[in-house]
Parts: sequence; structure tokens; C-alpha cells
Amino acid sequence: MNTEGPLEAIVNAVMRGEISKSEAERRLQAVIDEELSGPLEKKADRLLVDKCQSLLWTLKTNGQIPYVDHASENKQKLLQKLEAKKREKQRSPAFRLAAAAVVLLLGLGFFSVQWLQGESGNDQQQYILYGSEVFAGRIPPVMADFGEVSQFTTASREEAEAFLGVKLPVPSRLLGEYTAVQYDMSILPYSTFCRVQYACGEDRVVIHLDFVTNFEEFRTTFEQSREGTEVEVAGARVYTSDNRGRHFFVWTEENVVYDLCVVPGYEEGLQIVNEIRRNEE
Amino acid sequence: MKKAMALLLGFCVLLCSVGALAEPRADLVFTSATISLSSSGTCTFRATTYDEKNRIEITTVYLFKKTNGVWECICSLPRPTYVSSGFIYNAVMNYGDYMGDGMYRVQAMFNADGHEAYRYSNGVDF
Repeated sequence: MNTEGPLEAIVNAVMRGEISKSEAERRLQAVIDEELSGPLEKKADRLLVDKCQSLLWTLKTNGQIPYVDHASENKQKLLQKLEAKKREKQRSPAFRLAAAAVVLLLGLGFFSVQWLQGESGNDQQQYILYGSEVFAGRIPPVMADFGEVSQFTTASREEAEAFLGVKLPVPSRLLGEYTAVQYDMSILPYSTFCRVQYACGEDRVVIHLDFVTNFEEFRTTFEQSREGTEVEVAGARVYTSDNRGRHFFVWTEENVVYDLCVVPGYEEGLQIVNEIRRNEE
Repeated sequence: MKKAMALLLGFCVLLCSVGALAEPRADLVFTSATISLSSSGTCTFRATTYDEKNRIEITTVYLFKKTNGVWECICSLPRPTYVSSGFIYNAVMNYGDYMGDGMYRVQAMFNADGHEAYRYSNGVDF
């Protein structure tokens, strides 16, 4: 009978040379995700999670940086908040995975106490994900070999807002017939990016939002086939042009850059900008 | 061996030159394709597409240095190995170790299901 636990199994597989470093990292991550994203009735094995995080950290840093679990207190606070929220509503697997990733990052010490105690809204999830803006600049050195950044996709507006840590400044419906169906988010060194896709049958409307966190480094571009023009819509100066017939509209509001990049047509685009602007008021 | 190395180097320079001469143009696959280089050497690659893609990636990255007012290709850089699917590509690399004194910028080729578009970063003084 095989009595070895999941962690021992991974360690033994490494020792026997059966799996690569990247596979070991993947399996450790899977164990952590499994523990932290299970049903509420099943208490997470915190000791196992801590051991896995420690080993994962050692693997990622080639053992050059000692693992210090100085964020355990914060993790507990975060877990309590997560669990309280989970009792209210059963979350999708994707959301649980994202939450687990946040907890893992906490465990790795990327977040500060100030982040956990920093500015937060009424929603606990906003509190949790607010930190994503703070640690953004610390991702590159850790993931430089691979290049991936933290990302999350959901169909739930509530989960999207939890990830972003702010209320989305765009409505759930546009033109009375387009419904928001997908939110794709990424955390970059200088902004938190959100792509919102609306659908009406086969037709789509897409808006990109950049929540700028570092104005000095922020940079984005928009494909266009000719110089556009500025128009005023509901008090905002909106730059509009087209990319070989595909119209787009760009404007800014405080630290948010709006790029309405897929619209049915120019007039509809203007109407949507107007709706979004009115929605903000 | 030396001849092979020289040929390879020549090929690299040729590739860079071709890339440097041709100017980027609007793209029908990407709604946006941007490279941002920070003063710390952090390079952020980001792209979004109009339609859903199976594979979005960066296939080549080159470093350019401005010498006497002219951008010259210095070397190729390790590309982000991250591959995405869907509508979005975001990756971050740190090229700080490759920068000496002077002004630098990065050129990269975005590839979405075989469709390619190269773009330049902003120039940064190091």
C-alpha cells in the first residue's frame, strides 16, 4: 500500500530523477491549488500548503533566497475573508484558482502588510485584489525566464471587480442589447488591464480598460490606418479613428484609459461612448 | 567553424537591417501590439487581437542602440517563452543586463496563429 503523501511523492519523484524541475513546480502548484480551492467543508491542510510553497520557492529561486513565511498572519486574514465570502456564494473554479494564486503570492512574500491593510472598498474581494496593483512591479524579476504575468478570465462581473479591486466603470449592458459576457484581466508593471466583451447573438462589442498604476512607464498603442480626429462626447475628448474600416474610440478618465475597439459602426460607437460616460456620472 | 559563425552573424545583421528599414504599419489582426521599455530594463510586451487565436507569442526580440543618431541592431535577446491563446498576450522580461550606456530600444515580432507583426519599444537612455 502506498502511504506517501502528495508532497513526499513529488520529492521522491525528483530524487529518483523521474520528473523535471518544471514538472515538480507544476505538481507542487497543483497540490496548493487543490488544497486551497477545495469545498468549504474540506479544511485546507495549511501545513502541507506551507511546505509546498516553501519548496516551490526554493525551486523557483534555485535555493538562493531563503523562504521566510513572514506573511502567514496576512494569509490567515486573507483566508478568513475568502472563506467568509465563499460561504455567501459558491465560486467558479477559475475564481478559486485566482484566489489561490493570490494566497500563494502572499505566501511568497510579494505583498506587504501595507497592501493588506491599505485602501479597500466595502467588498472584501476588492480588498484582496487591491494588492494586485501594488505588487505589479515585482513580477518581472521572478518570472523573467518565462515572461508570463498574472491573468484571470471570468464571465462574472463581480469576480472581475474583485480581481481589479475597483468597480468597473462600464455598464453590464450596452445599447440595450449587448450583454457583457467575458472579462479578461492582466496585471502589468504599469497598469491593470481588463478586456470586456459584450455579445448580442453573433455580434460583439469590445472595450479595453487600462487602470494605470505607473504613469511614468505606461505605454499603449492602437492600430489605425490613418490619423484620427477628436470629438467631444458627454464632456470627454474622444480620439477616434479606424483600422481599415474598424472604428475605435479612445479616451481617458483619471487613471483609466478606455479603448472601445470593436463596435458595429461609427454611430453606434459614439452612442456607446455616450452610454459609458453617462454611466460614470 | 569561424566561417559558419561569421555567416550566422551576417545573417543576423541582415535580418536586423531589413527590420530596421521597414516601418510598422496598421494591422488587421491585432487591435494593439505594444512594447514598453522602462528605465530599469523591464520590457513589457502586450497585444490584443480582434478575433480569438489559438496561439499568440513573441517569436524574436532584438536590441537596438542609437549610435550617431542611427538605430543599430546590437544583438538578439531571449524572447518570452510564454504563449497565450484567446484575445490577449501579455509578457514581461527584464533586459537590464543587456544595456550599457546609451539609448536603447527593443524590436519584437508578435505572432498570432502565424500572422506576424513587428513593433518597436520606446527608446530609453541608460
